[in-house]
Amino acid sequence: MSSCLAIETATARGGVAVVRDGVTVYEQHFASERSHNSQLFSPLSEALKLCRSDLRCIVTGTGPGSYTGARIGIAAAQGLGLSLNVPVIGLLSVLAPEVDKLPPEFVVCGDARRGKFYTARVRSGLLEGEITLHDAEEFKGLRAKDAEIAWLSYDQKPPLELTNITLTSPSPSRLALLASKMADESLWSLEQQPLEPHYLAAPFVTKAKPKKM
Amino acid sequence: MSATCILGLETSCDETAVAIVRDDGAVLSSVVASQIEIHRIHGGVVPELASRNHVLHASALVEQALTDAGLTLKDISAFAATVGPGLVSSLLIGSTLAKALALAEDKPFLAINHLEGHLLSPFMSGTGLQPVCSPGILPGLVSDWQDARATHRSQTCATIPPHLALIVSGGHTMLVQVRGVGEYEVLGRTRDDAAGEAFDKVAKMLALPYPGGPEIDQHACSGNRQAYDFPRSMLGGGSDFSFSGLKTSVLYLLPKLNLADEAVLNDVCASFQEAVVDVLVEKTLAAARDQCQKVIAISGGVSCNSRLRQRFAERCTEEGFQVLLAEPRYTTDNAAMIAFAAMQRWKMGSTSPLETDVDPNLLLQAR
Repeated sequence: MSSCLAIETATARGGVAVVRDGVTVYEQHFASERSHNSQLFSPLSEALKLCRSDLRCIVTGTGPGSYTGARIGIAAAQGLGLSLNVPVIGLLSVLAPEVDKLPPEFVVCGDARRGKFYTARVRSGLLEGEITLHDAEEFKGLRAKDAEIAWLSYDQKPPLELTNITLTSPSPSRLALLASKMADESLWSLEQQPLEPHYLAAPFVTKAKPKKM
Repeated sequence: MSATCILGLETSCDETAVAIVRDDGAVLSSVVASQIEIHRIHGGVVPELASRNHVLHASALVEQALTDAGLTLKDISAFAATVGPGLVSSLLIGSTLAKALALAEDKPFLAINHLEGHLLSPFMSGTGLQPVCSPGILPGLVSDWQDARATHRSQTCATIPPHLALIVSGGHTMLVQVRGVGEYEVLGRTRDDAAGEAFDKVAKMLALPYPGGPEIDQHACSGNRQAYDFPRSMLGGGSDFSFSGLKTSVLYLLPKLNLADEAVLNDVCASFQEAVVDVLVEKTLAAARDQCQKVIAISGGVSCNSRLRQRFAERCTEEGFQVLLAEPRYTTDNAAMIAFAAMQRWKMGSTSPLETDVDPNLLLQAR
């Protein structure tokens, strides 16, 4: 027996899950705009009681989503990993939407701020190509062109209020399941990579206005 | 029975820091990943850049601190982190990491106020019960500084004596009446810019690199402190501070000067620095007299300023005060002061629940 622990905090709906031998044995969610840090540790404590003895890896969702939220999940996973000596990996949250029946191919989209929208196309559990940014018109065009494929979003409301976009959130159970299917070598190899949120853009730095003398 | 050791994390602004402090006050390790070079090109700290770098380095620094101290996580009795005040997205990294370590190790967590870390830092020494003189400490100051610290240690390591504290940094300037650990009364604070902020902003006007404090200090060494008569805002004798008028005064003077002349630049730096130091020293001494305190403790990044240290030493000797200055290495943001403050709290039986959230505006009295 071995278990995988997942922490997902990249969106307003945070969650913790434990998957053992392909079966979810624990899953707890919490709604939080700005308090993941205070709400995370109660479910994490419960989860740890269940999996401490046979924990194989810890996985955390890296977004795209709230950078601060994703960093909370990463810091928590790293703290646990240091103590429990298991690989800690990040997987894109877009790979693991919470829907009853996951279609073989789907697009996750969202507002990337400053007039941009991101799209991530997932096929057979893997990201196809890169996560890309589009302006509003381009984004609308893509949605119209891809009418046959399921479009999902982790935002609170559909980007640009487009129809035919299903609102959902990332599933920690699915994240744990994805990690549990990875070979040991893949886990340790992923663990060597810097663990950080998926950043959609360079940080926006506000320029100070010139002072009048 | 093995010694109690606390591992502390500090990520309230742009320094990622981890330290381990033993129950006798010894700093077993203290590591800091500075982001100064990253933020220098922007002329100040960019919060999103700061948190991006905290998350990349914090975990590795914990391992480094353990290695430097020759310990493992099993040797740590409790985990502590700064929970405020500071940049919220930065605070979250250290706080979450410390809580996760506490949870996984089944050890207590201590949420520490960054200001309390600074406040108690003059009572620290890197080597526990044998206080040492750090390079850069002024000769006139060493004996008082060592005597006071050794005296307090010999009573009990956990005891912080009643004293008057000045915290002076880039984010804070405040006078605090300290009756003991956790018993703080803020007597005064800045009404506008913190002293360190004034140093940084004036340095920016003078086209000196960020962070400006050390640059001004260095230029001031060769300048005339009386060259320009900048205002000393004493605000009617109360314990509050104001540095914005001084900053504006520098701003209005600059177009009349040739800053390309190194001597002029040095004079401006020396005169500005003297004005800040005058206010800080005289208001602190006045507050100590009012509160009948004989011990004055100075902490925070600006307390590293050489002129400030010299003037406090001179004036405290003249007036019969005992002055304790934080060691230069513990004046800027560091985790040793957080672990040290946590140790004092630990000795009082205090711990924090894992539900504790960060508070970017945390007040000194609040915790």
